[in-house]
Amino acid sequence: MAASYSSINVFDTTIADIVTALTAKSLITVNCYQSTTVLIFTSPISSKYIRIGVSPSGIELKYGDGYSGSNLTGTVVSINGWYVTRPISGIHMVCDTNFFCILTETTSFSAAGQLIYYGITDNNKEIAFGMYPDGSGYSYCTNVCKNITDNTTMYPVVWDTSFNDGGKPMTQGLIWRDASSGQLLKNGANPAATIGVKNVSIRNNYIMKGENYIIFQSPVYMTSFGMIPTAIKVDFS
Amino acid sequence: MATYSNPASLADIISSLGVFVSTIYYQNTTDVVFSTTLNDKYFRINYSTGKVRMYFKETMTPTQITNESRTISSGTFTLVNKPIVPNSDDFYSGSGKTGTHWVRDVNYTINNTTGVVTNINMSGTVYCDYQYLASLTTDFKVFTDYTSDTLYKTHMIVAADWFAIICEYATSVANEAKTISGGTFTLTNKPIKRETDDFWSGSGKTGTHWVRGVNYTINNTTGVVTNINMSGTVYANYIYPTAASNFGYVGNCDSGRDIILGGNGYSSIGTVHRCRDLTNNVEIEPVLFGGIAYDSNYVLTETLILKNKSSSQILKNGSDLDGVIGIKSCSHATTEVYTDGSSYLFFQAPWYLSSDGLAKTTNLLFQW
Repeated sequence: MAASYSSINVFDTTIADIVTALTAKSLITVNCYQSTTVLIFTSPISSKYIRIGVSPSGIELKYGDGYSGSNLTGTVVSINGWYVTRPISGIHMVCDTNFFCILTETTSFSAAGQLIYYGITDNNKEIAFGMYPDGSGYSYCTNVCKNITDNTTMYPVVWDTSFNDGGKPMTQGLIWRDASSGQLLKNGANPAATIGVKNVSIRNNYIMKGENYIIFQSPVYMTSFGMIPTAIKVDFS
Repeated sequence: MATYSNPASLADIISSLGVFVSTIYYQNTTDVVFSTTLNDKYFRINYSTGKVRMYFKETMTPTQITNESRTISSGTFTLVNKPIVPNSDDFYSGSGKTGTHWVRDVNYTINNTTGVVTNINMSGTVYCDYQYLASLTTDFKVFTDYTSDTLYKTHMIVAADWFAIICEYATSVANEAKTISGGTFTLTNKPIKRETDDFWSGSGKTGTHWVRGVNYTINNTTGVVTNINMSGTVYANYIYPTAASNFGYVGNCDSGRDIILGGNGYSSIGTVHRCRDLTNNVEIEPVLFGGIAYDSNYVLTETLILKNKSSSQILKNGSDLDGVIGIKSCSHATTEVYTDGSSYLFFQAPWYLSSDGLAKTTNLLFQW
């Protein structure tokens, strides 16, 4: 099954729209808690309880071992965050049966969107990551990649500069290395690629959306890692 | 067969280049202007006690001299300018070649370094036509430059179809005092491991000292020294890398495209470090790993690829990407220049090109 794109309402029905998009790809096993601002659910792609929170200024992804009301319990891990509060003007969501990805954008400030992802790599590692495009504020908030299967932190390995071939940017699998040892995450003899998202050889200040793709603004940052110099692309049909 | 050396003079550099050099147009102890068999461009190397600044120039237009007259004495005279030997015309005893003349290389010789012509079998006034290069050292463009930091070592690699000169910079620390606790202490800076000097218990090496590798170990990533079999105050001499190192590469890609690449460990403001496609005379830039990664502790490497600076078009060899011969992009970020002296050399990261000023966060790996 190919990935599908959903435009998520910024106001009122944000969580409901997210639930609809997740349900369409059978990504919700149990809807544990749902309000207008919080969704906690279990999923066939996750060993954890996943919490998505929304507010007028941001969207957040966490996971934990259990839940109580609107909160997670046990070991709770925050995947993303933001430093400067800016109103969200658009929410894009791409889902397939093995991942979901949400990208937000603002009109008032180009460096304030968010990217969150929950899914797997092609060597079947359950991962979640967040990225944030504020070059001056990224170190004050959480944006990480967690390899949930191995309980490790990872950083992306991407191209360091933009380029094209005949005007068209090139793409490669979004691959990862261990934050501590630097060991590349591998699928057999090859680097393990992230399902549903790619590294694309462009640098753009705003989200670019086409008929069957969406590219998050670039550069973006992850806490303790710094700049990810080329962009992240999500394909859908 | 590729060679690695540590040239101690400009003459050493020219000597190492060997068969690459097709013509030397100018040379003194600090400057050499030459062409190579690698491409159709002209190069200038400026040498300052081991530091190397490299230039290129696309064309050198000769100036034509016609009818320069000399009165011969003993069959020898000196031309006003230094002729380009391959293009020198002949000499004749009547102006405008109306009189007797001798064909070059039959009756006389020209020293194109001194301009002295010998064995002219003529008498009286001799006229000559020849070409010379009026501006030997001017109008060159820099592609790698050095800084005022302290040079540690000059590295030179000459392979089958490329060469590179790497100037490594380091700072010396003398008599750094540490009080030992449990046989372990941490140096203030991260030493260059292979060159670290010894430690001793009396300042100025007057007391007992231990030779590196016998009694202790140094972690050159952390600067931690362990297993010092001493007590009280220990003194250390060592060197640590600085960011100033620069490199210049002259070579080509898989497609045969001629390129040059220069870089510096300092942010390139104030100096010039460039990457250029000499075949098409356009500025280009490398595409590198955007982060560090290893596989079972081995550094990942991939062919160094390039893009057009203006259009960002990736350079191609047919349907493949056009890889640089002799240099690889690698997923490592050592802050020092490091070589095994026989097959590879890492250039420090971060490093910079002047054209974009952005930090290149991973090392280049020269392999020969």
